[in-house]
Amino acid sequence: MRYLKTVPRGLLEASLSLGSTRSETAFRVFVRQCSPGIVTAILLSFGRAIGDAAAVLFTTGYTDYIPQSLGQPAATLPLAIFFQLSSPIPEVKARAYASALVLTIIILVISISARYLSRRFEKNKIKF
Amino acid sequence: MNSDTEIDIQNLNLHIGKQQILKDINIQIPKNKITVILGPSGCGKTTLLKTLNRLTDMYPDIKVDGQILINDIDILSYKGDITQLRQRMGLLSQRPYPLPMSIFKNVAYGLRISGRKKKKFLTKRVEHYLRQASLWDEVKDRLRDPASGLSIGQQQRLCLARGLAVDPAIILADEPTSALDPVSSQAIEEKFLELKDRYTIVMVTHVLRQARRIADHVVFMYLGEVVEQGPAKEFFENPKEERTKAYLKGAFN
Repeated sequence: MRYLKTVPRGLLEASLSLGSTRSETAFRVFVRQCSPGIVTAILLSFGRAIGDAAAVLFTTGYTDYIPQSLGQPAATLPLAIFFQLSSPIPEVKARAYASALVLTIIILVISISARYLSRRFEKNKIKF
Repeated sequence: MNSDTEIDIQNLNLHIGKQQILKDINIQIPKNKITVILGPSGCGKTTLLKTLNRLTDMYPDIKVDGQILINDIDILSYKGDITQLRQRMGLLSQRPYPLPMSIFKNVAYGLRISGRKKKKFLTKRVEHYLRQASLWDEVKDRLRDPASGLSIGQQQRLCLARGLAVDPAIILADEPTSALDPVSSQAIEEKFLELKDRYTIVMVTHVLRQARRIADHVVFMYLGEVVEQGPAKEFFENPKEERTKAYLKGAFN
């Protein structure tokens, strides 16, 4: 929200005075100006959600099975790692380590692409 | 209203909340001339300019009454397409606000939104208007680069090109050189002198010397009122009002 407020009024006035309507101004100018922030916000919150453990435990619970519908409990990767690591069975433990690797890779990819994309969009942004 | 008047402002009052910003403004702006609105900071010059193309609509606490006649249409009570009305007026603001896109797209923007999208046509027009704003030679090799990479002076000329591209009849300029270096300022001033044959230019400034250099017609405002207006020569050489004389001597700055 705060990010969206950094768009200067003068930019919107400039767009309006060229004869664009409010929606053209919103989609072609406003969104473009904000795009680095929007992309970063989406990807970072996605990365956070996928890596979160405690909050998810209280909302979706935990399961060892792949959920069939949205109503069923589901496990995030950190939860799977947490529970499987405490298991005495070596195969299950091994699965926990595999999950940890997958999780690390996913988060890495998301953070790097967040940076990359926001830098790409940043190029067009007008600085004030 | 005689035929040389492009914009006829009658009894214009403007309030922001309870505060009255413009008090009973009556101005006739002549066609194809440079009209300079002069006055100390905070006297309502910018607000007046924004009223002319209805940017005041953006601010809900602004109340306007009176009449602004352009081609016998009162734009304040105009109910039709405001975007068309705004397209007839190019706006140059205090500091340049290029759009967050490439140089080419900045100039093509106005043409695109009015539905002219043919690539060939756009390429030709963009070159034409960039040349008019004397920017073409500096940017012709990097039209695809973002406009944010230009210097402030170049950005202001880009804004001029972009404004001209929608083919306005009137150019509204709000202290267009206040953020620029002397060379860019001079470039803009020279452009205005060149353009005045085809456009009616209304420029706000508080730089007296600039007004002397380019004005054909001067409106002097103080604290939301029009103190004096008239042809530039008469205004500078033979001011009638006491307050104008004081201002010309530099008493208010």
